[in-house]
Amino acid sequence: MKISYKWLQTYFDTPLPSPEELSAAIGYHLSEIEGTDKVGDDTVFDIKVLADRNRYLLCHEGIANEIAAILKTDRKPIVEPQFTTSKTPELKITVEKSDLCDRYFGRRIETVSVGETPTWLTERLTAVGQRSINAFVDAANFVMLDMEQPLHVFDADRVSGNITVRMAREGETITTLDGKEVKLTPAVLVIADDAGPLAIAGIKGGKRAEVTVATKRVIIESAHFDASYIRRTSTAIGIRTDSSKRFENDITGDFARRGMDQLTALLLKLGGKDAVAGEIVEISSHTPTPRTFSVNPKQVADIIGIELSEADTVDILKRLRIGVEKAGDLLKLTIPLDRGDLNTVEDIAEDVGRIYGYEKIPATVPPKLEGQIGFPKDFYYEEKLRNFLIGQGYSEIFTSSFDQKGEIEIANPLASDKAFLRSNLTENMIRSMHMNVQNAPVLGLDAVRAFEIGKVFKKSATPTKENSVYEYTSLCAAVRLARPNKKIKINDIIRDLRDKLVTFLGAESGVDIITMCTVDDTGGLIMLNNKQIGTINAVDGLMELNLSEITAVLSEPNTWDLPEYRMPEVTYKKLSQYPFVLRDIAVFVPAGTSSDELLTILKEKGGPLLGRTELFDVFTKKFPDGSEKTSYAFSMVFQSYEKTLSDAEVNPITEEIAREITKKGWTVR
Amino acid sequence: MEKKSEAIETQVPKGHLHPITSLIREIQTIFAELGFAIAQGPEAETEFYNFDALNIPADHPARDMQDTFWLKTPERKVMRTHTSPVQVRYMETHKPPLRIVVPGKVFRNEATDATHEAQFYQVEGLLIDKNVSMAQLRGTLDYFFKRLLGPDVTVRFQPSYFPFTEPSAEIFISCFKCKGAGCAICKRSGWIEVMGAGRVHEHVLRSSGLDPKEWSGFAFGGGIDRLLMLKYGVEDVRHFYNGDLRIVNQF
Repeated sequence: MKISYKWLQTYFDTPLPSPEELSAAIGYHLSEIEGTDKVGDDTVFDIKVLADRNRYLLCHEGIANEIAAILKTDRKPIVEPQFTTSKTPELKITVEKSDLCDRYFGRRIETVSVGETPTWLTERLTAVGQRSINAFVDAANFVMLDMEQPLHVFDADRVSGNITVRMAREGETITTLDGKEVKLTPAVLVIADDAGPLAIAGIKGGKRAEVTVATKRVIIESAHFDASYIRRTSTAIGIRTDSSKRFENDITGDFARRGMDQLTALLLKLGGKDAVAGEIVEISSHTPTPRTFSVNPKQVADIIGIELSEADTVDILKRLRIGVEKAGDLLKLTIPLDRGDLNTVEDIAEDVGRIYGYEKIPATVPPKLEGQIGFPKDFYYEEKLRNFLIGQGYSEIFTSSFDQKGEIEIANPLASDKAFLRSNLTENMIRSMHMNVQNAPVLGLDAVRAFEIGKVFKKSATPTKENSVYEYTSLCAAVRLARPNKKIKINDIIRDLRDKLVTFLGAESGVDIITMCTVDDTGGLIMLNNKQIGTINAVDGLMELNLSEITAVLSEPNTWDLPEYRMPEVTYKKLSQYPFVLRDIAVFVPAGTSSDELLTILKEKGGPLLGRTELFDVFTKKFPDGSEKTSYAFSMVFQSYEKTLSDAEVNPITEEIAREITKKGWTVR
Repeated sequence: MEKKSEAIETQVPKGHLHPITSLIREIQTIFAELGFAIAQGPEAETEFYNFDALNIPADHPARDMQDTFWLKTPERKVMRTHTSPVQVRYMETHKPPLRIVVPGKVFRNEATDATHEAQFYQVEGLLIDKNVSMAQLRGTLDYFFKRLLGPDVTVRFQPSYFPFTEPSAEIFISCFKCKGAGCAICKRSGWIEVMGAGRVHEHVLRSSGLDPKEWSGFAFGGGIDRLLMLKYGVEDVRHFYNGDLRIVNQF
């Protein structure tokens, strides 16, 4: 909500603190300020009004009231606008749906002649980002931004007959002020005349009775509409406006009365010397009255956790415009009409707490609780398994819960390749392994090993009315070789992992899971009590199994026996978006020379573009001349954060390295 | 003659925990010191637990606060938009006083970029006891963030609104990088927004079968990914969910 500093000042006789100080006070005591802009000689705050306070804070008066409470200063007293009314043609209004529109005020203003919108008014509007349209619309917008009530002005000469607030009829349409044709249904409330809809009630005005600078006679509408009806309807027809936003937040019907008078007075001011206002026409089925309830001031202070005297509590409440009467130990509160958000002692505690100052609330650690701390069995065994898998050299990955195919479909997916919940972890694991094998030189790995433990989703085999989804925890583990090696079979590595895993879980839980968990080697199936719970090497070097089924048969752990954990202290290095270049170098050095000496040269001459180095081959050879030399083979990864490296950039570096090695008297093989 | 050296026959190096798992473990460790147990719940959740029980009725503006993935299931399930449903599930099945922390994956239907993921991890906390105050909430979070990020860190409340807490507060911590001097991490404000919190709303207690006259509590929740990004300077939240070991193996 954009709030102008100069506009706020009109509510105070004494000068407000500087915009910076005011902004800080609002941040501490009311809500976040998302931005502050200088507009001409004004300052405009973008206040992130909290959802339950939209009902009274989407306007300058509401914010001014808060500032008065926060700064312990008085705002100017409220002065009801004064004007005289005259006899004007009869205005007949019928409200057919009083459940959706419990207050409707109408009034004619005759013989109006507006000129250009005065500067003071356009300045106010443009400061808060509103376009000036014409004096009628500008006046209505001004009153709304000033005191919250959405208002509408019809050109009376374009209205035929009487005003009726009714449901739209089948087949009716309306062209809105912005020229869009909207098909109406009997679920939509409209303001109609004898010829048809004039406006979509509480949401958007129609083109037919639009006011222009030439308009001579107007009808002002100031009404109150049901909040959930407005929200439902504006969502259904896809039209959100400043008006619908206020109504759907359940503003008080009292604003309708006040708004009518404010706009009348303003239009009389702008409408020339001949302008006359008619009598107000009110159709109300409900007149708001202040609510009262009692709170115990001790309880208010206890909820916040502060020592606050009754006198101080009363003072804060009064600054918030709440009427207070002492009734024994209790305080009988009279809540201002616009504060529909205040209903319970907790609501009162929040407001007392924030005006008192959230920053002054002490930090008290709750007293210790007797007894042992519980934990879910699944969580316990998943944690054990993670430690086991890491011990076996597998790193943990997390992947998306969405997939392009699956059993459970998402009604409103982000994209067509994310339209289902994943039904396995295998698909994501294959993608991950593919990427990680390509990056193996950067990772410095001969073989890439990874696992994921995560939820997958299938259609339930035994669906009920309440639940048709089978959600369970799956475990997937996979291995791939970075460089081809005929001697190593990845399927054997996974089989070995599965055997160790079953043994480990059996030992951890004391359950004879080895007998229960078997493998059908012909089909690559993992069986638990003769039921299939997973597959192994259906994709080479990969297994996935239903971990929930396994943990279900494990025994309940007695105590939490995992060690206390602290995050590793590491310095994170950002990833380069550019591909790496891989170069190998093998060098004969005199036997006994350490590989570190060679590495020092590589690092020194490799410069900032040289990333990871890896010693991947070492052997020592006796030469015919009797000398003994050791060969060190290093792989070097070159990568830039700024661009894709070419040979032209990498070759001079490797040549410089080779020259330095030759200088040492060593031989590049 | 050539002899093979040990360089290519070394043991398989130890794997790495995903940083989100690591942070969950540390969170669990710290909160265990205050008597908080771990609790969990389903990711595909019912409307009741995700919204209604948490005082977010249909046709209420508060439902707009969270963009929701709906499932095409006959029972109108959603992907949980927060870990708060576990509060209700836990209170339904456990007798107070109780203290839990709930780490878990949550989902928001919003476009992804470097700071927004449609799926991410949250940690939820809940304490139910007699006469629970906002001061105890502050004390608990102060303890947690000091243990996690260093003894200089302080916690500040700012007024906020959540349908399931009253009073509500936005939780800020003093910037652990610049110690309040102002830096890129805290956007030069000296403070970092890390959680939403408050005293448990009486509607939530009643939905869970507890009598608000007898029991009260506080709850808090915040993003785990965000804390990790802040602590280690990870530049893109999507790095955590693409299975890239160049990220995982740094931790």
